Amino acid sequence: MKLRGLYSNYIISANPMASGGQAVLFDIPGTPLLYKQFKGRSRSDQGVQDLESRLRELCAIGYGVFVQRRRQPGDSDPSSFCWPVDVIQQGGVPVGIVLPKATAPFYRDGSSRLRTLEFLYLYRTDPPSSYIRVRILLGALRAFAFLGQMQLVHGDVAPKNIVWAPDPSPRVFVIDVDGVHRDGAPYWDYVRTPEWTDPRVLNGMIVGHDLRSDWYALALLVLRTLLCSRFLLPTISSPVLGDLGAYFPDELAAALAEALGQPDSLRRPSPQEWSKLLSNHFFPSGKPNGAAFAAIDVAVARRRRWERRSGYLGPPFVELSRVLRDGLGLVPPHDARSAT
Amino acid sequence: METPIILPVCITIDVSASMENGSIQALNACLPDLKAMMLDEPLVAELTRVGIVIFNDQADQAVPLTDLTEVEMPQLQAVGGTSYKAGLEETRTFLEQSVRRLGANAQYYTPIVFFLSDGQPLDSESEWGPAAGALRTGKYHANVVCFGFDQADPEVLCKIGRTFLFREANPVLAVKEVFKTLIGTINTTSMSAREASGPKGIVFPEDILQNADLFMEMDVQGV
Repeated sequence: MKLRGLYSNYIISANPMASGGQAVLFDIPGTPLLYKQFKGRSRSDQGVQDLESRLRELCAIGYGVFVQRRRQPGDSDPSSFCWPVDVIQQGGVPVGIVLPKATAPFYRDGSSRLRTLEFLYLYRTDPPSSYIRVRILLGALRAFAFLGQMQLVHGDVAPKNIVWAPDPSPRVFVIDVDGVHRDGAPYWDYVRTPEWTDPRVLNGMIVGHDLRSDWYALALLVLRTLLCSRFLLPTISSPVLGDLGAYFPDELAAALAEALGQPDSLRRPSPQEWSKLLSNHFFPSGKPNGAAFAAIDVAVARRRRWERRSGYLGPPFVELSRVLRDGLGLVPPHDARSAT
Repeated sequence: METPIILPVCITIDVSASMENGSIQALNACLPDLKAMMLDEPLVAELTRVGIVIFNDQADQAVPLTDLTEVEMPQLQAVGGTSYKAGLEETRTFLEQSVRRLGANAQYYTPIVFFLSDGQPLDSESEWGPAAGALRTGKYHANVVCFGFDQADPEVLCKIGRTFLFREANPVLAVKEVFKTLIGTINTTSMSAREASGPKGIVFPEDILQNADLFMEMDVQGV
């Protein structure tokens, strides 16, 4: 199918690559691009106008970064975001955007699946070393510092929206950015991800995520990535974060408590502050601090032991060697190869 | 500190002789896909614990409630008759035992039971009816979803739970669609369950609610 955008024309594949709750993705064969078609949603005239205006602004950024300056995904702070490079309209209404594809390093080894953030911090995914995890965190913090300097809000900092690559150098690529909007500007298409939602939204203090919501989620990312834990927080009410001192040195524990300890607080470290804190702790004078990384590895092990002992991980794993009733219909493991 | 809430899922599978038409082989090929989904969706795997009950004339627990990423999936054989009473009673026992094993302070969402059958029960409604009712009510009640295919009787399944009848004539293809739908439902439900506002019950993937060519949702009777 042929599409006409603001800047160019495209031929998209007939069958979608993927489909989600809000959009369908199509490959644009022979190009480093893909097409994201929005799923139908009714909007007012003002809503359409705001959407078009916002997408044009994002496209201007994307066109500059990926087309004019020919950056590759993740190779710089500006190109750490999957800015759209074109908008497709029908009847004056934006119906989709053209995006740069994530490159090969952002895919999980030997698969067509992107390396999203769950594979950075969840213990069950066999995450990378603490050294890589910290480098990825620093890349993410730099990227969001750049976004904040432009007074732009992402609004849904969550595992599925950010992919990462461990090599050739650790970096991130924020793959869902069409919701990016100006901080403080009117916006209606708020989305949120469970376990990454600003408590101020849950408390009803704000309607949707703002810049400090991005900072809240980044603090969560720091905590979860360093500890390799899902690390649930209370959604409302006073948190129990006192045990952070058992895992982190005082300065880190204090910053995490400041970011996450008071649900309705606006005093949350910015990405720049986090970047400075982590760099000073893990790379003093620009060189890796082996002791700091070793301490994080110990903290991860300690956290894991606690999660197992406390039942945090759910039902224990169970062996399957029990004998079932005769004639029931289960092939015994040793006969599995003869089953047809 | 908030502790994780578990989503218990039980897959109750008819392994009677009628499944020896390619269906059981298709099922055995599909079971690893469930584990593969868990490996691909680690946040789903964090939340969800799955067990498998199998039944024909009798029933047993083939896989206890567990983290599927840690176990090998069983291989099933088709043999025997079809007793819905056995399958439903064993499922209820499974849920009771599984929930108790979570521990006194554990939190869990309402369990989901996926009931898969390709044919009609040999026992009467007066025998399996009370078992179906007990599964949906009481202390360890469950949300029950029935997936019927091949010779399954939708009027019977509707009395057990919310029923989807897969219309694909080839039972092997029907089993594959059943499993694709089951896996998708676990995925969407567990993601929805993590919403801070609380679980909303079973959340089906969009295509199951739109793809009338593949299946038909039956009217629920008396559930």
